[in-house]
Amino acid sequence: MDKFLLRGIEEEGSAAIASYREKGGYAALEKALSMKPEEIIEEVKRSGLRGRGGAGFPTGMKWDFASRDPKFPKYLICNADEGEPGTFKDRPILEKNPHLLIEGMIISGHALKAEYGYIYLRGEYPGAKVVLEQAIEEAYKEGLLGDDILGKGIKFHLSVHQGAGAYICGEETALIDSIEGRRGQPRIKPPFPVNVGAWGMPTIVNNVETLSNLPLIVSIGGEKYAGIGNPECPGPKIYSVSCCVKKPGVYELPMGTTLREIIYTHAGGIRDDRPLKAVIPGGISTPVLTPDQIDCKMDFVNLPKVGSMLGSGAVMVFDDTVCLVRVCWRALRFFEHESCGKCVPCREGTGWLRNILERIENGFGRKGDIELLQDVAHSMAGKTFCPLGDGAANVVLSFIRQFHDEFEHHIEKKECMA
Amino acid sequence: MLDREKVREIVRKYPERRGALLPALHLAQKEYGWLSPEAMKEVSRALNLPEATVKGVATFYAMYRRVPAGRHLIQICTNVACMIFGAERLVDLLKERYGLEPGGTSEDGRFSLMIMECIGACDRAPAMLVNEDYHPDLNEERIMTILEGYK
Amino acid sequence: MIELTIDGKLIQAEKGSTILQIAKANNIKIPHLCWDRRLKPYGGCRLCLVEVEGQRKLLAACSTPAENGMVIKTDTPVLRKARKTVLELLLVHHPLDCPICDKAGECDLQDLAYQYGPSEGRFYAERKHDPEATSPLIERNPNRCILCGRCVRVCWEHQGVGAINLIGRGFNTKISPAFEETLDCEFCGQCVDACPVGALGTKPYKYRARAWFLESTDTICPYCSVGCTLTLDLREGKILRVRGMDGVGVNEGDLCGKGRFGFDFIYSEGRLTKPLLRKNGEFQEVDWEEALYYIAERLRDIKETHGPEKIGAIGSARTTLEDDIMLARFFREVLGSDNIDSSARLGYAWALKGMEDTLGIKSNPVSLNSPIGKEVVLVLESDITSTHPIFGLKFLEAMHEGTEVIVVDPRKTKLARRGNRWLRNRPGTITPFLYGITHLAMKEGVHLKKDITAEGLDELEDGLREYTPGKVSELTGIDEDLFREVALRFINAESRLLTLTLGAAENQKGLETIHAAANLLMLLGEGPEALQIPSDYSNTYGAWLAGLRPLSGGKDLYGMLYTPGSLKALYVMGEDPLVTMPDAGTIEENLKDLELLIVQDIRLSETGKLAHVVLPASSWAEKEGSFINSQGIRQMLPKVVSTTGDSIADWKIFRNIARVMGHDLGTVEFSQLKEEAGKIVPEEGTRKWRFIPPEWEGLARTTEEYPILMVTGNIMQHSGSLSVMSKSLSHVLSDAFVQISPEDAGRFRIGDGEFIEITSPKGTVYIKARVSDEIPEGMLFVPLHFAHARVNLLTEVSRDGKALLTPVRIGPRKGNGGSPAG
Repeated sequence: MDKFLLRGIEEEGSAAIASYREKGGYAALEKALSMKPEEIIEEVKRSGLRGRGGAGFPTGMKWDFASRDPKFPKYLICNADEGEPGTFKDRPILEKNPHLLIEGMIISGHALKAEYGYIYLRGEYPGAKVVLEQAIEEAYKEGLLGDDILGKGIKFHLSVHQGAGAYICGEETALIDSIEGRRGQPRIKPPFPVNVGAWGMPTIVNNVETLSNLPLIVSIGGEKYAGIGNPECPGPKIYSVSCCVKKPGVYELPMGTTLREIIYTHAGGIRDDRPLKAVIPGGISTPVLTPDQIDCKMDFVNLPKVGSMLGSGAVMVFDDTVCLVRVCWRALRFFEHESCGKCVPCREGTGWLRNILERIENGFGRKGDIELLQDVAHSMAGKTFCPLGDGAANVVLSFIRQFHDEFEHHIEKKECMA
Repeated sequence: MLDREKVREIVRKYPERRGALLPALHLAQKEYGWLSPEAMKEVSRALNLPEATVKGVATFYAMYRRVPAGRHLIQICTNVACMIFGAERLVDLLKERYGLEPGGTSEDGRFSLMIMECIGACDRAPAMLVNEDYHPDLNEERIMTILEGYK
Repeated sequence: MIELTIDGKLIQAEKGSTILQIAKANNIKIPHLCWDRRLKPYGGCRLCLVEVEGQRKLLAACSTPAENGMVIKTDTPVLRKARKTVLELLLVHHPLDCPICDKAGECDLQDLAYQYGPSEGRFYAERKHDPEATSPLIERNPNRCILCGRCVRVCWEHQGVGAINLIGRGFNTKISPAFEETLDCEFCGQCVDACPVGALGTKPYKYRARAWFLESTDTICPYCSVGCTLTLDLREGKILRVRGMDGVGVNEGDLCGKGRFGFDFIYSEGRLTKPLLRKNGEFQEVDWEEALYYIAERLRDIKETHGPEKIGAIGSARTTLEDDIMLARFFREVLGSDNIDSSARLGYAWALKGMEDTLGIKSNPVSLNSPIGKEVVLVLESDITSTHPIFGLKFLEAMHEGTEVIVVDPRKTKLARRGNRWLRNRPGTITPFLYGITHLAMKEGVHLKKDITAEGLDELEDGLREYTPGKVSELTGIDEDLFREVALRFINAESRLLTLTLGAAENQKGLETIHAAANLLMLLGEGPEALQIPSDYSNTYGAWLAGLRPLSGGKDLYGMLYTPGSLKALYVMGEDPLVTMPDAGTIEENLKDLELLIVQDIRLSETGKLAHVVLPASSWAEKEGSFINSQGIRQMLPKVVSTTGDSIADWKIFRNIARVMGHDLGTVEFSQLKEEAGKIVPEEGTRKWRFIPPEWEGLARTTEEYPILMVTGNIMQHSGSLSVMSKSLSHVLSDAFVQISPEDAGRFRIGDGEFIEITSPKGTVYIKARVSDEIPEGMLFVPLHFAHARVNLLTEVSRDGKALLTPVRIGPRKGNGGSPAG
């Protein structure tokens, strides 16, 4: 498959508008501006595009809800707060192909009749901020942003809103709170942001990769787009592969490529050709898989069948030298650090999970600790305010389920199997 | 002093003044090097928000600093991928070489160190930010060479 | 309506309610810690999780809208286990110091832990040990905090203050003021009532009593005219604290600092315990018999020698309706004098007159919820959140629900800070501001579309011709475009409200302001309900209705206090004219000329110090009675504590003097009086509308000699001259001050906290300066509560009810040291 999202990013100066135009950039925008907003939404529905941020919600449906809301102004927010450990799929777009995102946002803004857009960029990407602001300035200069885009009487303004180090702001309602200048704590849903979002107005929050698919959908049409990859959740997908593979990096492949193909064909297999021990398929909060499960197709439909999730498509590969208790502990340290503190089970539970894992990892594990971990995790899963607590619980539950022996060994022998 | 004109410019990007709070804190941090009480009070006055509101927001986000920083801020990732590739050893190394504790500043005021959660460089782990510069593919030798470039 | 099943019970409910609201309404108990009726649902404590059939996840009852056909279970093994774990996790860190915690016995966490049983003790961790933080009235114990955030949200969302916040993130979150400093806020104490555990408490109550020994009684607040219900908690006959009870009273549980902390004025050391009689120039304590016979004899003498028209009475805005009735009856029936008035004359009476002149009504009670649901509300040079705090909250609440609250005020009041828009006008220019809007409305032809039959429309139009937006901008100092925008917003709104106060302590608005406001509203086709003017104090309105005013040609307050030689004897009940009324110098001269000055009060007031005889009255909570609040609602007050010393209820004092003078007023028991008071109803008016042509006399006369305008009024922590008796409220603020702008402070070289000399044509006083950006250049704001400051030596009285700002000159105090008074 030809690359679309990551096309030409290896070239020097790929972020410049001239370079983007050379690759045919902003042609889709011209086409889109001649279309009616409803027509674009129709194409998006036809394309079958599903949100690339993790939840996989059908984009067309989300847009439909937002555009049906009679309130104006509407806001379009690009979620560029990828912070899930293992995830770095949006970074190349932000740093090397920013105009693809900008084009996607202008098209989306037109489709949704949203006149104001923000890119919520994680604070940890200061380089991307410079690139994006430069690109936005170029777009304003060329009349692609402003009160009268390309003379078509369409208005769209865009700016970058820099986060400051809070994973929770990847959750869309926390992100909205953060844009409004608040502590990024998730809000109660309903109402959903498509009706009551930023400043109380209908707000569409889409991931970087999702919005970057818009130019493709508009240029080839929804129907053709739907033919890419798994028809149930089609399109190109960026997989970010890391840890124990020979060639870690980002791979743009059709949605539904198997985990095996990603690891062994594209990422070059396991480093030093060691045995594969475990794979986290979609970022740290998705349940871990064992080597016998890697023929699974990496998409929103097939991963749940093996008890995991696509998440952000961040594949973390562990060979036999990696201690999974330690990985689990580090993951929980992350969740504890990132818990916003709003709800009791997550605020207190993540700390306890980390605490117990830490003593197991340090050789002070006690009999019954595995059951205690499971009990705490169960009292979080499905009971916390937002999915952060679920994620933390699922990591623990899946690691114990899949690698029970390794935990037991740690507790009994006070040492690591790896 | 916080550049009031710049704050006004930021405020214009948002339908409500409060939207400018995160950017204004970034601005104040640049100006003061950290978010001192004085800096936060400045922001509170500039945006007509209670001081407690400003403080509550400033302390929610990990990248706002509540202690003065050294000349250069090292933000090193120790999350899973970086951990597997030895990030913790690098943290120990910084302690050995510069007496740097996580969250602390070297005695000569040259470096401050923050442990970061994932900085999205898992394919080139371990990685760090020094000020706003991104440095991937670290090992014991490389990190020292890089840091020696920051005086 | 929807129908759903909770715990097997079929329930009908309003659409749009949450599961928790419906459960509460049907007496089904679902536990919760972070929910508060006044606040947006938060969903943090996760105790209110319930099972809903067909839902994979447990749902939080507080934040899940109920839907038709839902089948809900609120108590199952799964839920019990989840709740128990939450409690277990909270109790790992919560200090189990219940034996020394004032909250024990009424603590939600304690009750829930008891209900859900002991935890398994699986987690051990060091408990938090942050130091306690104390402030004048509120104590924080951060270790007991469970981070439910109710205090933070009530302070910001509900009160619009934001003095505290969640600081930090996740497990390390703490609740504190911005910089861990001492709390510096309104001290409303709403956070204390909101706290479900013992993390917040009131200092005066600390270690005073176990909750289970307290006896509770409800009564009505003695301070402002909102008439909040206070729940008094007593131990051994002494009031130890005051709380607001969710949903109870016109305030529905909200309280301000005066209501919550100000009750202790009744325990003030300055309370009078015996009658005082001046003998050879000195006060001597005497018994009631001697005092009453003295009074009876002197009054009889003066009446016989000079006639009843030489005897007058000034009543109180805080005594009960029943007290007021007896004062009026004593004067009219026993002495035959109609010279009766109260402080309402200086403020609220002009509001009533203004409304009668225009709208043809003789009374216009406010409605506390009036701001809610309006499209635009204009707040006119009035610090409602300070003078009538709980009414003020309604403006914030309305704003949260979409009302545009526009504040026009030279002072940066709380509503100015929190409202949608704030227009800073020059002091005393609300009247031309209103003229300007009316002028624009006429230009827009709004009135032509309405069938207005009121008189005076042409004269109004003529008179307003000069008040163009440009002219109004020049007079008020408000940007012309901004003025025009706001004016049109108000004119074109679907629904609207004007609100202002006209208190006895205020000098920047007057009768002409009321006329201007009513003119505008009538022109827009709005009735009296669009004009919300609350009465001053707890019974200002009641005093008016009870007849504490001349009814048949008697002398009013101006005639009695400001007209030399008009009286030989004056009876003052529960009022301190020398402190609270303007031009105190003139009042003092006239009082000194009296042959007989009787002052009946709960303490020895400044006026009392000039009296020939002083009578000790029982105070609020020491006697039965009723107040009529600004909504026109008569509310009963029980006798809660025993009287102080030999003091007796004001009404009984009149009954007794009458008896000594040989008159039986026919009232022996309180029940008779209560019945009589119940018959009082406000007068109706003709309801005929009439426009009053502009009568504003131009900008206040600053001169080269007196270049600054002094505005007087009430502040948040105090109310008239009563609150200064409260030890608690005085902890927050006990010294007089004058607010001055940073510009003027610089110009006149006055430092914050330094004494400043203020001189008007009437005299000179010295007060501590508070430099504040709440005040614009060219203006001073001085609260009138503090007797020692004698601010009213500077002010003038306006006999025609017009606004009368005081031009003054200021400078640093010459000489050094001390705090000279006048």
